[in-house]
Amino acid sequence: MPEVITRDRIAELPDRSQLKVSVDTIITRAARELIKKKSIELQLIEESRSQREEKQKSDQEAERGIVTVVGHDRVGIIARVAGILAESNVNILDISQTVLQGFFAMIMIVDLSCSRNNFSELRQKLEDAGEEMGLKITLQHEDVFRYMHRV
Amino acid sequence: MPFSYTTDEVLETIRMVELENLDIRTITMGISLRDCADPDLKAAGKKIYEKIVRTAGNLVDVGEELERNFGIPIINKRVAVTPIALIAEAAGEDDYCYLAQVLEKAACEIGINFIGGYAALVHKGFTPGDQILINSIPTALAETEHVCAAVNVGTTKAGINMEAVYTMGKVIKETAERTADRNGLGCAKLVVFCNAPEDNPFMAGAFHGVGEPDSVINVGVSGPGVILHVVKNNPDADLGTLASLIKQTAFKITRMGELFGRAASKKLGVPFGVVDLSLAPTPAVGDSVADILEAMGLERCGAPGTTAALAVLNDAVKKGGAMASSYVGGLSGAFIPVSEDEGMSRAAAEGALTIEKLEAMTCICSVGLDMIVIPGDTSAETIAAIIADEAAIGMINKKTTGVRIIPAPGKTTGDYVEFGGLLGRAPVMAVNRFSPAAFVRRGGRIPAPLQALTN
Repeated sequence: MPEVITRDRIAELPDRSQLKVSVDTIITRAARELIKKKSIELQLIEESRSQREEKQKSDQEAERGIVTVVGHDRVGIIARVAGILAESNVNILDISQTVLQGFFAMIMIVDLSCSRNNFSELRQKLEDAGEEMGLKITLQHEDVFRYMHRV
Repeated sequence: MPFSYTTDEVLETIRMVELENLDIRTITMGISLRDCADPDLKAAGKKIYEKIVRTAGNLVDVGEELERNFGIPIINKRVAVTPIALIAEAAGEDDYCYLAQVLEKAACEIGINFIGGYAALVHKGFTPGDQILINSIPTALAETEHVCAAVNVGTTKAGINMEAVYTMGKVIKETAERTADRNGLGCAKLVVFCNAPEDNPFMAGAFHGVGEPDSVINVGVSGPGVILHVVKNNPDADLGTLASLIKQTAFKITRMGELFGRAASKKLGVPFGVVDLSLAPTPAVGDSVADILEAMGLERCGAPGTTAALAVLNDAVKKGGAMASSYVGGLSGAFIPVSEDEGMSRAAAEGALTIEKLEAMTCICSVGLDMIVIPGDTSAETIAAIIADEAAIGMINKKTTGVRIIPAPGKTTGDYVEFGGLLGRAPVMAVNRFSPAAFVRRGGRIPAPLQALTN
């Protein structure tokens, strides 16, 4: 059973002390706030081999994402998006693009299994690039579309 | 690899999330506290606190992870526990407020939005523990922020416990007075049910039923904005066609609930319970059930035709939703709260929507009279009679009905009451001025109806 760290437990520790936690330790919200406030350093205990394998297995599952780009057409959109994906070692599996009266809609299916960034980081990078170019760029798990449009 | 989705499909999903407030209303973890009963109330409290923190300690983290991964917000993360009256009864105390404090502390520790289950099931009669719990509700709700209370006063199988109905009339009055400084906000955390479901993920009425497993994940979907868009885009469709379009959209919304429920269940290692198909509005503009009814062609929600329009909507949502999820449960129907729905609130303020019309609407959709503000001087007997009417509708129609009504202290018809956040704002609605006191004071139990004799 995983260990649970609560606020009360953190309250007993001195400021700026260290606390050993393992990967599956549950740290409650209130405890985490106090950890930040007291500048307590969390030390991750070396994970066992079986834990590491399990983690890798679960990481491998989350694998395909869909990138959508919507906005006014201009030069270099695909290059920019593809650049960000390449930097993160994300493979583009398929692209579909339509331009209707200057209105640009691009959809990419991407393979995230070897991504150097985790999902949220990549999502943020794409969103930021979108803002710079005046476009709406989103990244979502393929599951969202599969569940919604396929039975 | 062939491209597996059409552009329209992908853009439809993006539009729902970005423009139409598609969200998951709640992920609610049900936790059984049956192993926490103890003759010593303090010891029971310790067990309860530890069990909640251990079981739901990372519920909020997992919820936020899912939000990031799927790009769809989850508005609330909540916990529902076994009705406290069942657990506390083993202790020989005469006040259970201590346990409300324990629930509050656990809720704050794990960072959830609400915790439900300060509840008692008294549809056929009270045990001493039920009585103690119900008497402690006003104090418990006044002294806590996140705890929600529910009392089941009737079922189709048992009839209606009119002693409990009258008691709840008084409890609601007292709860309002104890939270008078906040316009009677305590009453927003208290539901009186008939046929209460055991797996409802929505507050304030969520509790973890006795037939449920040790812990379970239930999901409540939302999406009035998405349905509104479909109805608005088809102004000339006949009602059969419109129902079909709503059905297709409800299917898609519910699939998101199914996706989130399954993912959360896997990540937390807790079994997946049900998806609740309710269309739950928020005070945000465009996220309103009343707006859908008006888009269907009513000048204002509450106009003649409202009940029929709601029937079309509610049925289509259920038909689409039932196909989309492997397990459907909870309340599953359109919600028609007044303060939490900007359109309902507006209709009530303009005099289009009355309590009587809302009562009629509850005959064909879920929940009941929800988040209705009435004058502070309404008597306990009148509130009890309103509860009895709703319970009777639930009992006879074999459906869940509830009453969440707020007699706002010091306010009269036409005043506005502001609760803030998801609870919204609403005008004080007029209540029929004739007295039901003698009827309510008769007490006793309304016998189970003929509908109960199904064996």
